[in-house]
Order: sequence, then structure tokens, then C-alpha cells
Amino acid sequence: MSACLSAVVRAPFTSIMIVFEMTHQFSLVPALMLGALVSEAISRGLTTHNFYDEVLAQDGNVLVHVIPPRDLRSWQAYPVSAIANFRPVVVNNLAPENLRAVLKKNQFKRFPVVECELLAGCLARTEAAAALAENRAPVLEKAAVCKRSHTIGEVARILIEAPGGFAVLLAGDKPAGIITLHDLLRAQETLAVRSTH
Amino acid sequence: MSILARQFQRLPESSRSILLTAIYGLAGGLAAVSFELGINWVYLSTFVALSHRTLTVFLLGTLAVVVVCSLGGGWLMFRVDQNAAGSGIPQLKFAFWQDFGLVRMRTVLVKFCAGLLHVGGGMSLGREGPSVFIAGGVASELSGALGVPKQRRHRPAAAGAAAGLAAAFNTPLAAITFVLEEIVHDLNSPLVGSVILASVLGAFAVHAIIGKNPAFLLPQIEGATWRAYIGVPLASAFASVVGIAFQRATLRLRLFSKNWNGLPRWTHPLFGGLTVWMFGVAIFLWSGHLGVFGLGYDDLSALLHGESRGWSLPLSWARNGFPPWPATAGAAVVASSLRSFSSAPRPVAPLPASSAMSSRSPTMARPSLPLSG
Repeated sequence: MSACLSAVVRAPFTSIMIVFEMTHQFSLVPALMLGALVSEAISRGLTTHNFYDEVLAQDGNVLVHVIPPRDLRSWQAYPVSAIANFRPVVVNNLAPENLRAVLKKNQFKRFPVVECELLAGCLARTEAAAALAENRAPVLEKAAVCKRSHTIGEVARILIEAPGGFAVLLAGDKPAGIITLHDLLRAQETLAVRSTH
Repeated sequence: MSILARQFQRLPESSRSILLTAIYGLAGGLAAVSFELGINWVYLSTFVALSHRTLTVFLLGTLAVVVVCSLGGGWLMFRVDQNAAGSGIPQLKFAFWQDFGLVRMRTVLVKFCAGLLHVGGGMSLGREGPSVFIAGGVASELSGALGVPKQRRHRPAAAGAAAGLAAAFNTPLAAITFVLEEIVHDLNSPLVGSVILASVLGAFAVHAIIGKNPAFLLPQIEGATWRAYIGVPLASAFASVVGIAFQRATLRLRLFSKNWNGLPRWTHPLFGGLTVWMFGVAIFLWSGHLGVFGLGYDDLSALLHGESRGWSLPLSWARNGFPPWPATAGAAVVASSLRSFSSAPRPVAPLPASSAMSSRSPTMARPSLPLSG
């Protein structure tokens, strides 16, 4: 019972304690501990998450997005997808009317520019405003890029080097989202508040 | 209540915290005990009462109970409040992290009623999931009435969950470790004091109302031999593989059921209910035991005593969904529920290690709540 529960729930202390308390048999404890050890090893080898987390994931609720990390190292090992913005404002057309509309509607300082579904570069707000005033084509910056598989620690280093603390997240060759230094700081602030309960 | 909340806010911070935690613990414990008593009342009034009637009455009566309870519970959870669907533990865990521990009273009430119908109405399910959710939800809602803001319900939810599990199984130590390991994900959490206090009070609640005996009988183990300790890893490995197979089969069937749109979702629990009914009736006709329906701790106790070995293996399979029956009762119940059933199946494997240990006289289980005829 204890090993089966431990394998499914991945809570070895609970699986030991609950069978011990449900039976009131102290002499079972060494065997329960041995069983928990074996089941933990088997469970970690055969499954990635426990039953409850799998159920949540099946419903679209991934816990890694909501549970704060235990320490800095764990935080830096999180996937960047946990904090990235997958619905960025994208500039698909550099025509003056479109640029004016984008600048009027959004207050962001940088925009990814996409042409033929591929990343063409990054457009700074100041450059777009200057280009419109001087009636010329805007000059695009080279965009800093990262992959969805990158960790937060890796992306933090990319953002430090990137102009304006702005990077585009690529899925294959296509842009899938953006991440900024502001996103990183806001996520850290949220985690700090949560971890204090 | 607002007057009471204002009075609480006037108390010093340290005293208020302890007093509030004590209230959460008692409320969570009483909620879990009420749930247990309700389940037993439904079960005794239906399956146990029908088992003393003629075979025709038993067959038709239990079929009617299963159909009504399956559809009733499904309707409650898909038409009244979908947040009440599911085992309860993952949902409370998600509420703890995503919604700061906030659980609505409406959801708790729906969970309570649907849990009575499903667990008491014969589904081969455990009461731990709903007990933890209901107790955590009651504590969360109560804290709101006592002036705790919505974004600070972590402590009440965790304390209530601990009290609920402690009361559900009379296992205060396991309740502490479970909440810290599974809900909070941190054995060194600052919530540990609240969890311990609430767990103790949850155990007191169950001691006062039901009694302090263990959940089920097990022969007294005098001491294990070296041969037994050699067998433990093998038995544990087997039980672990069985548990993981159960987990995978359940999740696959759950996904299938979730994507199936052939019938309204609230009717899906009926398929799980009918599967359990077929297994339950077959085992009852063969052995005279009702263990497939409801909680079945009496039959589990008998199984662990080595009594009635003829029915123990099929009973165990039917209850828990062992291979080679990938669609047996336990897995089928959860799968057909998608997120609709009020509780998850309990993967209770046999305890092979204990059979290798020397046994003496049995300990006593909770005598005040006979779970089978």
C-alpha cells in the first residue's frame, strides 16, 4: 500500500506515515521506509510528474507557472516560457500609416518586426517616430533572440547584452513571443510576494 | 460576521494567528467528519440495507442507486459548479498557488453533496480528496468571514486541508507531511506551525465524534525476519509498477473521456458507475462482500487478515484497476468522470510484505461505523 501510494503521489514521508497511522503498527515502519525508497526510485524513473500534477497538466494548469522556486538556482533553471509574453504587438508592415497606428495604440518602447513570418529585426519607438517625422524608412535593429528551451538564467544573460533589454523568442525560425527585462523583474517581484504567503 | 471580524482584528497579531488557526483546524476537522458520516449514512441506507433483501431487490435497487447517484453527482458538477469537479487535491493545490488559497463556499457545498452521492452511492472511490478539498475550502471561506483578505488565504487553506486529512483517516502526522509535501511543496515552510496545530485539532474532532481507532484492521506484526526484509523491495517494486500502470491507464481513459462529445458531460459518470456496479454485483454474488462499492475498509481488513482468500484477488483487481484489466473499476470511474467525479480512486495495492511477517491477534478498527453488512 505504502509503495503504491508513494509511486502515484510521490510523497514518500506521507506514504510511510499514513500506513503507519492507519494500522497503528510501529514495527511496520522500517519496511515502509524501505518500500518508500524503492518506490521513489521507480517512480522517478518511469514518470515525470505525480498523479495530481498530471491531472492538472491535462486540464491545462501547469504548476511550474504558478509555484515559486525554492531558491535562486531553481528560479534560473525555470523555462523561459514560464514568464515570456506569447502575444506581443508585432509590426508586420512598415508603411507610415501602419506605423502611426501602432505607435498611437501602444506605448511599448520596442516592437518585433516580422516579414513573411520570419523575424526581420527590432523597431525602437524613437526610431519609428523619427522615421515618420523625416518621411524615411525606419532602420531596424538586430534583434536579440532566444529559444523556448532556454532557461531564465540563460535568457537573463541575453537580456543584459540586448539593446533595450528586449529579446524575441523563436520557435524554430519563427518568432513566437518576446521577453523583456521588465518581464523578468515583474516575475521576480511576483514570486517574492507569493513566497511570503 | 463583520462585527466578529472587527473583534478579531483588534487582537494582537500573534494571538490572532494562533486563534484563527485553531478555528480553521476545528472547522476543517468537523467538515471532514461530517462528510465521512454523510457518506456512511448514504452507504448504509442503500447498499447495506439492500444486501439484506432478496437478490432481485438487491440487483434492481443497487442499479437504481448507482444510476441516480452517478447522474446526480454529474449534474451537480457540470451544471451547478464545474469548479467542484475532480479529485479535490489537485484543485486545492492549484487554488493554493494560483488563487492565494481562495476557495468559494458554493464550490465546497457542491463538492460535499456530489461527494456524498458518488462515494456513498457506491463508486469505488476514496474520500481523502473531497475531505481535503472540503476542509480546506471551509477554512478558506471561514477566514474570509473573519476578516482575512482574499489574497492571504494560503494559511487557512493549508491548515484546513491538514485538519481534513487528519480527521478523514485519523492520521494527524500523515496530514502534516502530506500538506507540506504535496500542497505546499516545502517541508521547511513557514506554514508548518499552522499545519501542525490544525492537524492536531482535526484529529481531536474525529476522536471526539467517531473514536480514535485506526482506519482498518491489520494483524499485529511482532517483528520482521530478514527474509521479510529481502521481500520488501521486491513487493515494493511490484506495487510501484502497478501504481504507475494504474496512473497511466487512468490518465489515458480520462483524456479519452474528456475529448468525447457523444453525450452531455454530466452523463459521463454513469459509465463509470455502471462498470463499478457490474464488478460489485459479481463480487457480491460470488463472495457476499460489498467491498467494491463505497469505501470497503472492512473487506480490506479481512483481506489483510488472510480471510476469504478466494475473493480477495478479484476484489482487489475490481477495486483498483489492476492490469491485465486496464479498464477495470477504479480507472473506469475516473476516466468516465473526466473532471466530473468528486474524488479520485485510491490505488490500494495488497500488502505482500506483511504476509511475510509473523502475525498475532488483530487490532481493532473503528467499530462505531460498520461499512459493510
